[in-house]
Amino acid sequence: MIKFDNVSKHYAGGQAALSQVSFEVAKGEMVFVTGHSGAGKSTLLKLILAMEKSSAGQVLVNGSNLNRLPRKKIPFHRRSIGAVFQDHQLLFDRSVADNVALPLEIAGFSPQDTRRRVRAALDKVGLLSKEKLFPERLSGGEQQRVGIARAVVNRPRIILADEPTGNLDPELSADVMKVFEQFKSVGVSLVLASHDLSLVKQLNHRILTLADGRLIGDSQS
Amino acid sequence: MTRRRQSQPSSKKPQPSVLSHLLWQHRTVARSSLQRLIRTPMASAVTIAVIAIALLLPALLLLFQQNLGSGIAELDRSARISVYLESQLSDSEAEDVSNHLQTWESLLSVELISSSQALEEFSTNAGLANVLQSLAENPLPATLLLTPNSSDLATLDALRSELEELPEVAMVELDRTWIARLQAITAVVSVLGRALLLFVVLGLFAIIGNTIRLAIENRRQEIKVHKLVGATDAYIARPFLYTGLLLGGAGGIVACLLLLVLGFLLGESSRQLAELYNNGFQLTNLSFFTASGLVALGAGTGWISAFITSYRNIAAIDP
Repeated sequence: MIKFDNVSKHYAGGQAALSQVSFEVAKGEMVFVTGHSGAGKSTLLKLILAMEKSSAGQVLVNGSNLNRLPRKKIPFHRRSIGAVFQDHQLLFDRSVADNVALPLEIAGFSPQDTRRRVRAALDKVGLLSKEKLFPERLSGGEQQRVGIARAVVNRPRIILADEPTGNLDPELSADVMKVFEQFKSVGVSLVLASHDLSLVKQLNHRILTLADGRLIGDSQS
Repeated sequence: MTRRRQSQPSSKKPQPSVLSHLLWQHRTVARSSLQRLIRTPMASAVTIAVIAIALLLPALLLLFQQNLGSGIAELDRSARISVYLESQLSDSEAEDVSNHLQTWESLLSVELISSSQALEEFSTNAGLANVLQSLAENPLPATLLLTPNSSDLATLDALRSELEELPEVAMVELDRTWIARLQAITAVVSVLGRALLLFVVLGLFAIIGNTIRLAIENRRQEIKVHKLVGATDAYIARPFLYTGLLLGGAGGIVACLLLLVLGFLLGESSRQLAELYNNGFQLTNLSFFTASGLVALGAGTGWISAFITSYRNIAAIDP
């Protein structure tokens, strides 16, 4: 589903965010990426989402080479991915339900279908009762869960999440992980970046460890 | 939700009746664009007023030219040739010339004003009764007022030389110079109007483009989020295109209203002007055709400039 082949990414300043990273994530696999901040976790996710282009090496997602993906096709590539951002990226002039509905509106779903799916997604993250509120009325953890609902609402093939449990207490973290595991069980590939090693270790999933842009550990291999 | 369905990746099959769904989407976007404009009434009003005034200038020139043109047509129809006969001709001789001219096909009508009639008219009109009475002899010649068939200047010229060759004719007066002048003025006004129209369209591009650019800048974060969840540039541009269309169209409508008001204000004085020229001419204001043209011009320019601006600026926003 996702394949990194000797991928390096340098930024204009010259420092390497990623160097020669290679790994593969299969369909229905759930992978954690850990490492200190600045180790390259976010860059790795940005490459998969085509927010950045690799400086060297190939990134293959869903069978297409992102280095050769024409600009026009990037939106359609992103529609097959549900992404949870560290800073949530919610729209503050729309209700929670409208925020979650955004990917469906863009993909052209009917209002009835959209409503049904939005409610299902909000129910999964336990926020159905707050669908009419505006994001600024929510706590950081709740905003994060709105972001998760938005990521899963379009039933993507791939879910990416940058510190998805960063603002959540242990109980909620466990709930969110359960949601992710449900998606894994229906064949969705997940890549979750987290620096919370203790949480990651107790979950018993494959762990990729980054340090200074290099892949220094892959618990599976 | 069964497991199978859930595992189906987001197949983006739009729902049944794609067309009606698309129409619904467009209606929704158009409505929200309108609501955004209404939410900032002052800014929208100022933009619309500027667009309206810009559109008003070429429209006024165009109407001026139209009115001038129809005024000239009116004058052409009443174009007359005055033929002054030799003063020694008797009334019956003058009548003979008149009868002869009536057989000419190039003339629509011939009116004879005998020298005594001319004297009578002159003395009542000009208030010179006393002066004329003191003269021993009537100094005025008999005059023939001819209405030609054609208003074409070349034909009139030919007719004039034909008339001048008649031995009984002393002088032929064809008022053609000021017709020619008027026609030249109309041509100038028409060129001016078209040039102004071009400048105005360029100006509208700048006004609407700038408005759209600011709107995009204000919604930068929103556009970023849209892009992150897979919106195409076309999808993101859609509300801005409607904004351009609405602003331009509203500007066109306001320009039409201003023209109507102006026409109403000018109505009385233009009627007086026409009466002074003994002319059946009437001020034509905005026709339905011109009005819809104006609105279409505004809306079209708005849409196109929004299109250019939004594609350039939206593509520049990288999440």
